[in-house]
Amino acid sequence: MNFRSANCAAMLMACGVALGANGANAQTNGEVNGPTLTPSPEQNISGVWWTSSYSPEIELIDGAELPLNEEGRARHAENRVALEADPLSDETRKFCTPDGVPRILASPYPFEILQSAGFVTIIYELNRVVRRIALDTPMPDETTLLYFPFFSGHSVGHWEGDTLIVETAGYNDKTFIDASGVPHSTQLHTVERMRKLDDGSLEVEITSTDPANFTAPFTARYVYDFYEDLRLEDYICGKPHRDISHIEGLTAPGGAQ
Amino acid sequence: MKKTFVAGMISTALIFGTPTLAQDIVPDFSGIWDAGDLDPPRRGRPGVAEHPDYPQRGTRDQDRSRQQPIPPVADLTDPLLQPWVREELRDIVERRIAGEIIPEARSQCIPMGLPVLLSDEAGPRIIVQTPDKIVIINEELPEVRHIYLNVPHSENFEPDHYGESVGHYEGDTLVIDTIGISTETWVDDFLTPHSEKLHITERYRLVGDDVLEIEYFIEDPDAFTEPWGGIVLAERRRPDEDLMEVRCSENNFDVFSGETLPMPIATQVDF
Repeated sequence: MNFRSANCAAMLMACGVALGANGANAQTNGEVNGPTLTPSPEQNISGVWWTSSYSPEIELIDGAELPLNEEGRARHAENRVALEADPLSDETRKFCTPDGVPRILASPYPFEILQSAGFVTIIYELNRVVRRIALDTPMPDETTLLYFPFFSGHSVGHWEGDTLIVETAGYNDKTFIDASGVPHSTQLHTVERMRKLDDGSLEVEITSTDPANFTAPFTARYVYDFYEDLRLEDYICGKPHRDISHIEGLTAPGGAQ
Repeated sequence: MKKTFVAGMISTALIFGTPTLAQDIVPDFSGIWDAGDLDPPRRGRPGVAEHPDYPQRGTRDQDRSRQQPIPPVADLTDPLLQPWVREELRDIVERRIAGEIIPEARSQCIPMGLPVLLSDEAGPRIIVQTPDKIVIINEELPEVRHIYLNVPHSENFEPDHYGESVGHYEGDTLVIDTIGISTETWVDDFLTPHSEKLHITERYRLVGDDVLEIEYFIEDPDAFTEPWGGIVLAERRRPDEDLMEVRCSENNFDVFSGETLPMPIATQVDF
């Protein structure tokens, strides 16, 4: 019974195309057993993380203003009007496609970080977004980034002491920077710095660059709490989801904003 | 078959007293796998039989023969089926024979359910192994399965499309035990339903450097008169390959009709 496999060949993207980077030669700091890695305490960011607050608008460090250029300002104004008229004009929310980066970092749902030999894998409960980060390997070539733009882009990473640096490019332009409709182009490039703080929380600082919509790079910071016994749940569009009503800043969970 | 199954249950129970020792080497199932068909088991019986008069003909066959494709049609005389399952299937069989398109899970962008999720129909999948859990990510939709190692099942698990999976290593073999699968899923392409008692055991073992064998056993006395199962073989891709990003909601077409089908859509924004 393999009639569904015909689906693969008919996909817009050919399923057999090789992408990504080789994580086999990754430098690891921890105990490796076969494919598994027990990270050193310094580099252990594994587990389930969950924010305690949500903001529909991206909040830059030091309260900085978004450095939108003329094109960016015009598109943002246009998107804002459309979202206010119909919140479901936000296709990410309507069809449950991935939020893209950095918007996914603001998700009020938990996410899980898995560390294995040569890779960091992040699974966000919201819309089952999966980010696969190959460690200590070069970015995929320009052709790959250009011809296979992803909602979540293509990521590579490396450790600098206690900080995981994740560089991502090759984004599509179907997502917003935040829920207010800040636009970006396929030229978006992000660098995330992920590290555990002294109190056990996880900090992600992200610097985004997109010359098509912004005059300068801009940086936002997110902090997440560790949940030892929490398990990610499945997320199906339009179905009831986990209770997120305790997340600060949500104006109307489960309803229109 | 029954004996094998009972033995599997007993070893599942025993594992919690004999966790994998730290010095044991974890078998390497990591990487991207292309699975094959759901093949018959070595012992015991396979799943529901196909209707002898309506052998499935896929769209690829259609390209060659220019014949009308035939979706999977079950053999209602199969003694495996409990009466209520036979009656539910009868409706689907009659409608499919009459040419009606009854969409299966993937073309509606809902999870496929086990054991179909193990086969090539679910596309390539990546296996991520950590010391205390295994995550299997199927590229299409995508689908994400969490398998918690060396822990018992929860007392009150709310059923969902994947159920609750716990696992452990027995030497070179990974054993996964799954219960709590929502009755919204089907166990095969005939769209055979199951009860809340559906219990699936999987055994993963490398039978070559890059060849993985998955044996699965299915027990659901409310739906089937005896346990059944099968085998899936999967081949590991080169280490320099990674998954594509495939969103079902952008590709929700039916392979027989080529039409796009209804899929889950939010009627109000979630937050």
